[in-house]
Amino acid sequence: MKRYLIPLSLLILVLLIVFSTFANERSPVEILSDAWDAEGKISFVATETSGMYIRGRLNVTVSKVFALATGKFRREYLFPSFLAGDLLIDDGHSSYYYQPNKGLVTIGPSLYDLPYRDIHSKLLELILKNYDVSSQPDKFLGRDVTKVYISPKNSKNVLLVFWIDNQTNLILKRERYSSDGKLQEYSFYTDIDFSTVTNERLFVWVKPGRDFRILERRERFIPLEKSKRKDVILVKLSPLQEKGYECISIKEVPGGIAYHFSDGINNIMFFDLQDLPSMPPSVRKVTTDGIRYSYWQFDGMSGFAWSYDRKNFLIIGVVERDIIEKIIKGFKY
Amino acid sequence: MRCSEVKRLLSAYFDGELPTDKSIKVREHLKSCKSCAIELENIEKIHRLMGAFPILEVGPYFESQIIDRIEKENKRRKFSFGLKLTAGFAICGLIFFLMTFRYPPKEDMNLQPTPVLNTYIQEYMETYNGHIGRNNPGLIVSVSSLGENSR
Repeated sequence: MKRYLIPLSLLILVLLIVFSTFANERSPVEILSDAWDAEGKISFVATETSGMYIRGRLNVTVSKVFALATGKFRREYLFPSFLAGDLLIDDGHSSYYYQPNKGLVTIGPSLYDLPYRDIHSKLLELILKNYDVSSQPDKFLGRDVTKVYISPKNSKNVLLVFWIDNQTNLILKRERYSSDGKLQEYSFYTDIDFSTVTNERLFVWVKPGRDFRILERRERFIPLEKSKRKDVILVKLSPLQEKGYECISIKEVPGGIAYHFSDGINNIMFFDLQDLPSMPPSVRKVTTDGIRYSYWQFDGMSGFAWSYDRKNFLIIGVVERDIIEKIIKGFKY
Repeated sequence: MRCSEVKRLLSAYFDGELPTDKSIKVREHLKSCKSCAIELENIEKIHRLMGAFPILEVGPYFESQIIDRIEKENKRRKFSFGLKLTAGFAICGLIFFLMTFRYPPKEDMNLQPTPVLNTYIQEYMETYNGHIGRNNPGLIVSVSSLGENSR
């Protein structure tokens, strides 16, 4: 019996090491979830560069960002020149976007508002349902990070990539690609410093002089469950649901209501409006099943507008025309 | 003495209120000035006429009746003023209505201006941008020229 004791002890030890190693390893979804949850909970100072391709043109912004673990945020724009001087302050209750060149301050809900956190968790659910999430270790800014990839199920095309800091869970870099593999938008930090704690006074909103116009945008997207709406319109939008989209939030907008549909990555906005806005010059008129609709497209983004039964509808998003035609026909029956 | 000065003093002269020296001077002037003499005659006539009126005795409630009548008159005037004011407002209102009324009032049905497409594109962009940087409104501003053509 004694001769089995040592190998048995060794086996138990090895099993314990292996178990503890795997127990500590988080899944890619957990890493992403922790990263979104960490927003507003980490203090740092950094330079952020963001870019977005629209109509083949890259729009870049460079700004100095300051964050406090108490849910406060400040962004000072440095580039492009027409944004230099613009300032965003989030004091944890509201966000204030100063545009001195325009003499305008836009006040809105805080970026770390609870409804946004609820929407983020819903988006994560949809990502899990509709996409594959994988990860691999990497290095960024000399720090150990986990690179998280999101791609459509059974496809190698990557749509989103996150570089998540292992130590703080902060997303240091993000990239978004179109379904045909083209880079659409990105953002990343440089000169990041976690040790400097910014003075709280930098996050205090100071009301500007009378020459500033103040625009209040208190409306916010609220999760569908909390809105308690059981709209007939949502039933009419079943072709989107068949494609994995869900209405995750609702918001009042000028002249109507906006319904935010998402499959976790792609977003579609459905507007139920009192009046249709004027369409861009590139608009085309198409008739389907006796209903005439307007259709336009910029890069991958499409817009569809139609009127039926004295109601006006507008859809904006990266969405195929056949799905929209199904929706338009659905309103008839 | 000049005629103008004499005419100014005639009424006091007639009533015997002038000092003796001035009274003598006026009398001397009247002898040589026909116009001033006629003026004095007119004053005398007026006084004679006034003397012909009977002296009226007022009743015991004359004063209170006068006050009562004045109050009634004031009320009537007030009512009349209110009526005129109301009528004035009614006419102004009618003119304003006729000036602003258009038929068919299709454009006025929706009192709020129709938002431009850009408003809705920005709403979408903010959502679309959610994964990259919801806290970057400048990026949305920089690409918001997207819907400018729709203005």
